[in-house]
Amino acid sequence: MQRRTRLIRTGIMTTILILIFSLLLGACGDTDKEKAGSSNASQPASTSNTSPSGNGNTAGDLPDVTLTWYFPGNWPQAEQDKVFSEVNKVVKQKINATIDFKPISFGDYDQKMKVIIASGEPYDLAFTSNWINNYTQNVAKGAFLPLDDLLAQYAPKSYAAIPKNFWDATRVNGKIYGYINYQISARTPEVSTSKALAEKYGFDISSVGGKLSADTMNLLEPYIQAVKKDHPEKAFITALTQIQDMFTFETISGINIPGAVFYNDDSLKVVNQFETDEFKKFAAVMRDWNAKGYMNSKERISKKQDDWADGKAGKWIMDIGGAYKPGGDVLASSLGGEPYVNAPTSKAHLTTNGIIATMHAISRTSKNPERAMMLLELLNTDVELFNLLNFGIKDDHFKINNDGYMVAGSNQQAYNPQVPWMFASNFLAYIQEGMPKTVWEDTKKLNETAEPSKLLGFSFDAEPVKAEIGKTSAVFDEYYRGIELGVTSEEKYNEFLKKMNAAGADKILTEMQKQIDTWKAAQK
Amino acid sequence: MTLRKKLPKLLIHLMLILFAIACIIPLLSIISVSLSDETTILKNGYSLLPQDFNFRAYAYILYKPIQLLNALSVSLLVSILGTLISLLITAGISYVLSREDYKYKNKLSFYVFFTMMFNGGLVPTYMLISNYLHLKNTIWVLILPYLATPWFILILRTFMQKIPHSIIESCMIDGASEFRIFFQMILPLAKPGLATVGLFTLLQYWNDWWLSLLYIEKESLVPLQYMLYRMINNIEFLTRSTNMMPPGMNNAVVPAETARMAMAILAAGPMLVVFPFFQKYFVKGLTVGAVKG
Repeated sequence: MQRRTRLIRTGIMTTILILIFSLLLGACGDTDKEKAGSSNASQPASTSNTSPSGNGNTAGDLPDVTLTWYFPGNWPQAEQDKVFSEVNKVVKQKINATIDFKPISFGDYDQKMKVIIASGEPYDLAFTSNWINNYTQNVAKGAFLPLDDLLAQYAPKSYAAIPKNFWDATRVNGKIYGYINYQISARTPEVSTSKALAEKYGFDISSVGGKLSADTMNLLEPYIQAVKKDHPEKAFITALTQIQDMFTFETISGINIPGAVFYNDDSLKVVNQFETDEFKKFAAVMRDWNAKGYMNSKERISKKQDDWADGKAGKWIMDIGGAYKPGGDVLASSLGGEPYVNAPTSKAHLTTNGIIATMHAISRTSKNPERAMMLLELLNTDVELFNLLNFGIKDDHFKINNDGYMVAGSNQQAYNPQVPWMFASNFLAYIQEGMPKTVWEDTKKLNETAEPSKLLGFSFDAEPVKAEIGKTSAVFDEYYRGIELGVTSEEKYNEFLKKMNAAGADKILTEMQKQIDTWKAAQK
Repeated sequence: MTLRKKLPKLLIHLMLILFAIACIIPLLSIISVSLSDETTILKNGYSLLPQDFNFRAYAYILYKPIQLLNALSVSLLVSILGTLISLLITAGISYVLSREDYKYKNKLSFYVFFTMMFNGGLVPTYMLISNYLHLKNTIWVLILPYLATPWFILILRTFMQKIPHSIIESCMIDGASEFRIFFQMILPLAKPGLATVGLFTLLQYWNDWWLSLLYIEKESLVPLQYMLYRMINNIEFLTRSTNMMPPGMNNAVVPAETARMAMAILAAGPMLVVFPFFQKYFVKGLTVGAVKG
């Protein structure tokens, strides 16, 4: 009897220990899901009424104010205070204002802005976009001031410098709430490969540039095949989450959420992109390539995402991903640790998301909105001031070499936030060594020649279908790696579609269609 | 027969050994990665022994050590000052709650217990602290919110309840004032309990990044944990949302693998040293709430 209880007790002990042990191992898995659903408080009625007063004033007779400016980035930088005080010297002189800089690191910015906006704490300027500090949701909450009048009055120069259809893309119910930091907005993924490899195997990347699609992936095959033969350790790299702009449809809430509209569809019908022939074809090509061994899928499937570390370690043949921009090969080369060549994957499209990716908004709680707008105008027109913020102090953090290019200064490590599009118009930045002299002209041209989406100006409010979006995105997370590595068989793919539908894909599509129809009706 | 006796023990030992290994391996690998060469790590993955042993990661972090040293001093100040004040307050309220002859004992207990279940919520708390108390960007915002943690109060109260009431009574008969009883009798007697709660509080202060995330924007007040959290959170964010972000973000700027690990060692290090000193009280202290007398 006693022995029996002891055995039982041992059994229980062991079970508990096993449980603890497995919990421990489980904790090594994913850490992602917890953060969601915190802080969803409604915003208290902010009662500050802001009357734009004192028009047409210039520096001298403006009263002294302090402007609070929240923005994300790779903060902190070791010598940021030094740089910011230099900036303030200029700003003080030009518009008699002092900026209270609030640089917040990328990871915290969303959380922080949510709390600040919800609590009604006064601030003047904040960075907003579709990917951080969500623009549409904040406008819906009434967190930002409409800027139309302020723009016309206090920022005429920078307002005129940006094409009209860009401004239209930021409109919510006919009003502009976001000040665009002008940068590359035409989006198509970048296809890049090591220069040495391309030369060795006689591959001219510009010959495929702009031509790739699900139908024409075979253009790459001869090159991949040739490299693969000599370098079995190298693989073809792409990520579904990075090539959403390669297809001929525009995804409405990102590739991972069902809902897309074909660029050439005037009726703006929302379809499930995973059920389109185009996407299925792409999946089939990946399957075929995996069968031919181009993917090294066995090695890669353990990781959720490929990163440039593998590129640096020489495991890549070529990569399709990121976003193409003139001068992007400089970046790829620094990431990849050797010279890279790049080309646009397909024809670039101009979408709302490309435009609203970098903006500033003036808070509803701002006491000096007109001065905030003047600051935006100043940052977007004063080349030296912008570059001071962007690269730091000249001849310390950066240098201009004899050819007029920007090169790293002796002290670059102390200030190098690397977010030019965050402060103001990217096109004011000094050109870095290695980029073509005409890089900004090229980029502007790319912006202008890109095919504008018919949905320009529409942004989807995900709030009503939040639960479905969470579920479908979880299904996507389960299957995407298999699809992009080509290990997902056709049956498995159909299973994926079924699960997508079970997770509420239809409901999302209906909601999107509803919002698009309303938006379309309001346009007329 | 002997096998049958030994088998359960063996099993349990085996599990415990595995458990111990599971605890130690991550620590070892962090140390080894922090002492390895970056590119070798990228090529071969992690291992338990340093590959291409060097101190480059530490050199990278300590390149401009002012920030790190500053963060360390903020953390130390907050932890030590916070723990001392917190212990005094926690001990005070626990003692009062442990006294049977205290009239409002139940009401006060409920008041403490209630905050364990319900709190003001994130946004109201934030508004109170930043807009009304104006504690934002001060060192106090890192200390005050954790001064009285209900759970620790309950632990300490249970411990103090075990001190016989007759001791207090005899002190009174000898003419000691309430304060004298508290400081000279109760506190020394409650040392194991205080040490346990003190260690918990110390860990709470030391490991906290949440308060600084919300209320600290001044670089000079950023504690060590928040600095580390920010670094890791940044890396996570950048890898997660590269597809959404505007082009031109150079992911290479975030501190690399080895530097992150070196950072982790520097952040956890001091606590690893402190722990053994508390340990002799710790075992005793842990059981204090278990047996009611």
